[in-house]
Amino acid sequence: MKKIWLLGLIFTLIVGVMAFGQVKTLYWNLATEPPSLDPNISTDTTSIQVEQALFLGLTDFDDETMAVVPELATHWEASEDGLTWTFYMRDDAIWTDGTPVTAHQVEYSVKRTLDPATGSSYAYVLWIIDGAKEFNNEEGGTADGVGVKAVDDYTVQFTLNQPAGYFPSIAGMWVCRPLPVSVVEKYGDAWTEAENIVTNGPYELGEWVHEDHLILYKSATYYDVANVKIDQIYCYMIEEASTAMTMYEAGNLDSTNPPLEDMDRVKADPVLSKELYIAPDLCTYYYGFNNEKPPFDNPLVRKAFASAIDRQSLIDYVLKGGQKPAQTFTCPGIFGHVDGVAEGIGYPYDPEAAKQFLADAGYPNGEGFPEVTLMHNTSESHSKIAQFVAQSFMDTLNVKVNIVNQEWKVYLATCRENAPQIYRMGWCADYPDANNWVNEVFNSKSGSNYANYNNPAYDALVEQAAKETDPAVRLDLYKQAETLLCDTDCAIAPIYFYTIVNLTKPYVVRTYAPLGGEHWEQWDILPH
Amino acid sequence: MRRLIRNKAAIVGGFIVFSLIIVAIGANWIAPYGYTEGHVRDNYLAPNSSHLMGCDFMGRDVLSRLIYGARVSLAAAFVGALTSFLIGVIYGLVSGFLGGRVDNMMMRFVDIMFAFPTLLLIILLMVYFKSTFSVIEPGTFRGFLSNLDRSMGGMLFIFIGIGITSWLGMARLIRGMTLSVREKEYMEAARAIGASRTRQVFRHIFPNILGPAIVSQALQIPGFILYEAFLSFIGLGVNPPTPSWGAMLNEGYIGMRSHFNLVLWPAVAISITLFAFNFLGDGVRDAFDPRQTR
Amino acid sequence: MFEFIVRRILWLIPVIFVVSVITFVLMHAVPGGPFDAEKALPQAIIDNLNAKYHLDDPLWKQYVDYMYGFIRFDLGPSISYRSRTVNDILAQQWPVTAMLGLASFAIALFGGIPLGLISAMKQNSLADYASMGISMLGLSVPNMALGPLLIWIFALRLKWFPVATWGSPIHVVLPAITLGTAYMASFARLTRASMLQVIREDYIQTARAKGVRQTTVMLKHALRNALIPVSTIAGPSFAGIMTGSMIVERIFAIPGIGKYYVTSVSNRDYPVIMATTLVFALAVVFMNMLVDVSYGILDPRIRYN
Repeated sequence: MKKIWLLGLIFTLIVGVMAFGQVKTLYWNLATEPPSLDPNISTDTTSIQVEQALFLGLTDFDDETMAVVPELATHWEASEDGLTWTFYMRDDAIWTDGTPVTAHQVEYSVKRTLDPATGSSYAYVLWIIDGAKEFNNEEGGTADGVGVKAVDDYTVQFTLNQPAGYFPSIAGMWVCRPLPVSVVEKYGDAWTEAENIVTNGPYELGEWVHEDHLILYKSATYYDVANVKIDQIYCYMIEEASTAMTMYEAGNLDSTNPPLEDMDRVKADPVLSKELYIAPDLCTYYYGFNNEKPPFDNPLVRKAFASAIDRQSLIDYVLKGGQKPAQTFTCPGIFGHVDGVAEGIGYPYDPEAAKQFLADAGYPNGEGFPEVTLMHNTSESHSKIAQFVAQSFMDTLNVKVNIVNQEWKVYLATCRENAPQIYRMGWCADYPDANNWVNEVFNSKSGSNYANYNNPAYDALVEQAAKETDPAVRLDLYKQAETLLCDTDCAIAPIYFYTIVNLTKPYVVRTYAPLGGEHWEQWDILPH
Repeated sequence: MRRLIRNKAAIVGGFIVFSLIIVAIGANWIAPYGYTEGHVRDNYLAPNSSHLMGCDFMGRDVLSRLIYGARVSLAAAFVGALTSFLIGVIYGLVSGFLGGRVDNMMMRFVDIMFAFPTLLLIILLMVYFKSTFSVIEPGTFRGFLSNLDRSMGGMLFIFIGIGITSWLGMARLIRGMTLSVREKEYMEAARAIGASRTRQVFRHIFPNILGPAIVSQALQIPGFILYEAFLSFIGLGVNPPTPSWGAMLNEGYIGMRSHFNLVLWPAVAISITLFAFNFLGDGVRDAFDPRQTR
Repeated sequence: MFEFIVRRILWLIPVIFVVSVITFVLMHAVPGGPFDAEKALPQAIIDNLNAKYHLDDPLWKQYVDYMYGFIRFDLGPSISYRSRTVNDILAQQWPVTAMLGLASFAIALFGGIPLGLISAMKQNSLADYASMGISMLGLSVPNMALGPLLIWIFALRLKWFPVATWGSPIHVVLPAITLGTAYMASFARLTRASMLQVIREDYIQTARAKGVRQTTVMLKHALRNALIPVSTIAGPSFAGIMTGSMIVERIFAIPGIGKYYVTSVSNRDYPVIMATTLVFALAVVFMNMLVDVSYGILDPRIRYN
């Protein structure tokens, strides 16, 4: 009798645990092995995504409004002259090894990012800090000369070299996030391996089998762990988009980005079409012109080509992802964006105007126009877009365009040293301000200015806008800058603004983060 | 020869190869559309009366692109085979004829190169070629080669690449045959008369080894067709919009479940071609094999 | 036999030398370096990183340093994957590819040889063409089409196998079939051709005259000798399987070393490029040695002295 009762109790307990203690697991695809989980050196979206879950920053972004919200810093203030920013941190954040998260670790992290020996590609974002450039670029600066200081255990102060209203968004970027100092010192470059790493975010790194998968577990030491609903995130590393799509359809993955070749089928499918989500993404796809290479040193030629791109057809028939045609560079949603289509800035598709520009440039109906090269980095989708646009050029202007592709590193080297006449590029927002776009890319001194765009008036505008504190004035300056870049000088031909095209299973309650990585700690999985 | 005719599969294979060559040469007349013709509005059109195999992502007729693609695939196969044949034959002839230490060294080198991962070599070579030779510089050698490559739709360096990585087997074979032919009596006779070395090689050795050499090289051709498809897969193939079966396969396999015909037809084309070459090659080899008696 | 093996091992030295020099020169001849990035790094940082990885040393010194490390099994750090050394990468990824390669090879061998046998025994009959046809099918459909096709039919529709990734024996089946069928055809054709030759040899006639059963004749006498030429292509097949694994690993999301052959070049990760090439060369030489040893076992006339 007693035995049956005992068995019954155990049985009930097991069922109870199974029902209530069901482990909620999200199956995600990272699309590739993260090159590194070290926040100071990461540049790719995969690493940044995982770091979003593992490492907290001073600030974060609200997914809906893209406003800067507190994370480790509860509040912050700027001095009168806008040059000194003080961040007050919470005192209950701890690392998975039990030690507290302090302002000293923020200072350490910033200096480590700027240390030339670390070799961080994103350090340039921090050059707005006083002394940062001198230290990072080895111009005689030292770590101590960098304008970041832990005033006490939970207060950190930044000194900038010019006012920047967008600084709080930079303070939250992965390059500034506090690091577990003792762990980094002890293990060096290997500190991010699963057996060594120590984190402070909503998730911790449970397992990392290189090239295969990594597993994140809800972190018990996270101060807001009560609100984190998903217990475990299993991250696959499937590079082949079509395989990921198949895995999604087989039920192994909870979310994926469908390849554009499948878009028709997805939209027509009764189940998949409901799981499809399309929303603006913060990136622009453009074809740049090498402004110093004939025949593209002639603005009329550039305007002809920019007017010969049938953006809407490209979006409707090739991309199929609800993208928006772009006539200006900075994308919508970023402070400083200018709506070129609405305001008539830039060059919409106009075959007649295109032919006229080319004739004015001295090549009526394409006569005498030399063969030109259009280059892109190796990728099937870039190839498809290139074929479409090149065909557009050839049909509208009666010119010959040769498509060449190069693999990524060679392509970057080529663009830097001797950019082709027409080259394909994209740019995605690092932080929500046009400074990240028009200044950091097309300022004549910028290393990313493959177009060799050189207009002192433009440089003056964007540099002024960077320093300016009055938002209304800044907007006007950016409008003038975009007009120069995409209209008067037509240095580049923006093509479209990216969209997020995503399929997610209906049982996943999720948000979409336009900047940084997804906020998995806000998601939930319903029983299914 | 009679033996060859008795081999039905080889006959069928030969017929198919012959037809393919005709198609490739006569593409301009046979193909219903040009290979860039099409409006993107017709993208992914299913097969219908005006487009027997449907349209690709830019509204271009698949059948026409398949026909023009035959040109590229067959060219890659034949010219690639020719290049590796030339390199292999010259190397093997020299090595076998000179003999002794030189032969030893040369063959050792071949043995070592067999251990080299061809994949890596071809990738490094292709990356190098594509980066160095895609300029427009009239007047320089570099510009000349770039121009030549461009006018061939990006195929020049594919031929060179295939040639550089595939000559090893041929070299070994030729060298072996040269060595054995060298010792034959008629060679001794030629030497006795005082024939010059070049005369010995070209007039006596070369014609005797040509037969088996060609057969052996022909058997490699199917591999080159696949090679070209592989190069397209890793992005080092012909420049678009030039169609090749490999490139079409590459464009299509991602959306296989959505548009199966885009994968099906190039795959069928490749398969039929490979079948044909294989059966033909086998048949020729069987027919000329002196050891097979019926 | 022992002396033979020793000679073969000594052979490794010139192989490693030539292969390493060619790889080293080629990889440095290709433009672009490991630190070229979209957000261009300031020159000072590039200089620093070059110094850290000794890329600013003269080329000959870089080569010597690398080879010195290689001999001591220290393959250096990976430039693109900061937290891992090349030793780590090889130790984690190579066994996976080896497993896949072995499984594919097994399919090629145990599928191809029987098919070749059947073809040879019934030359020019329907069975002959059918067997050759089946094996050729595997050869003719390129990996990048066959893989997704198999996934579609057997994993997505029939659900007999997992779609992709690695981890248990059942994950090996579809990728191994994709990779192995091409070589199955080679083995089949070669077995057929050499069987056809062997059947006409005198000793086979003798056996038949003595009244030995057909199957015994085939299997015991003919096959053994027919396998000798077959083992000649074992080496190149192995190399081909390694090459093909790159596509298959990508399509099936398998964590093997195949992808590194391509990505290390695109990343200009020099230590990884050198390591993958040299390890491959070593494996090929080793395979060839195995093949030569098997010659001795298969054909008593061949002995090494």
